[in-house]
Amino acid sequence: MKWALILACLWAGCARETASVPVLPVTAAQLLEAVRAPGAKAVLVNVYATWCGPCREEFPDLVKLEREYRVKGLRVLFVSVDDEENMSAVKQFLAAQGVTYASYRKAQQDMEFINGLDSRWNGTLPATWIYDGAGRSRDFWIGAADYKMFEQKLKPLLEEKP
Amino acid sequence: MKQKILVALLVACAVSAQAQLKIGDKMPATDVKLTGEGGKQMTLAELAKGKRGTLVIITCNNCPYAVAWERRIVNIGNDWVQKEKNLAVVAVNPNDPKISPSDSLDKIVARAKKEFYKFPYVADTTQQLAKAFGATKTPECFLFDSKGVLVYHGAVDDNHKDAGKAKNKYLADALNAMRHSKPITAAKTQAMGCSIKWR
Repeated sequence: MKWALILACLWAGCARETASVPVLPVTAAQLLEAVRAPGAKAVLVNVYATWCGPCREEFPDLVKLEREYRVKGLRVLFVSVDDEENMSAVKQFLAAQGVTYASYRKAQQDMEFINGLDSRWNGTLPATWIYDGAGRSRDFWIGAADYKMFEQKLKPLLEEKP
Repeated sequence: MKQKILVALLVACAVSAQAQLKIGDKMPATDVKLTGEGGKQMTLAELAKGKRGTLVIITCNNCPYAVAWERRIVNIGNDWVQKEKNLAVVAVNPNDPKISPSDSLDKIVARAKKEFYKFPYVADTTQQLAKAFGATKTPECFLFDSKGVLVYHGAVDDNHKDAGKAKNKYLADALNAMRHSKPITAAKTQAMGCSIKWR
């Protein structure tokens, strides 16, 4: 009985946490608008899927990066390309990774989204972009990276004087 | 130092990702040995010899996109191998099985049998073919004409989830256009895919 109560509380906690993570539908144009929104010195966009091994591998480093560099002007925009019917899995994944702020899900046909975001990208996952505070693309790559690489690429932007 | 090397390697990967084949390019890596059932080796040059076109599909066994499109890839491949006997079709799995065990040669052979492939499904064990093509993901289709010139590069269609809801059947349209010597309307298309597991 005691265990049943504990489990019920844990489940309720998880459910609450899951429900609290907003995952907003986004088109490529809307995403680029969010990139250009004022207030950040650098913006990192990461396109991922919850079932994608390399995406999952690098995700904790991205979450850590966001936590550590948010105060210095970093904005991280996560974009899931999971199918719409898998949004509960996406929310659980985000909650488990400690992402408690709004993130996005692709709400456009693949080709429109890919071409709308960046002609250099061909849809390979994961994909990461770094933009400066003015919304100019400063770096882009496909495949997983690690904390050191993210930090090395972002630090110069975050240290730039306005 | 180690970290700097790692970062340089990762950056190099990002750069190489942009060096993809372009429409009009000649088929590269025609002499790269691909491995099939029983360790049998074959090259694109051998497969394409005397054919009026070659369809190369870079794919794998575990990527949800590759799996979702697999039945359509097999149907198109089987259909064209039988219907248009002058077309060579080959599915190539470039993933390193040490990273992705479900992409070992044994699993590739088993998959081809289970799913009734009537064309070779082979391992690119050296990954040289995938690199020469500038492939970065699975699945990715490359269609070459009788002169070995790339005439189509991209996705199977525009709906990985549901074949019945695909509005644009890019690959089938490209094959039909090539067969009738007509221009291919959408010669370059895009879709999501899983990154190739490089060694």
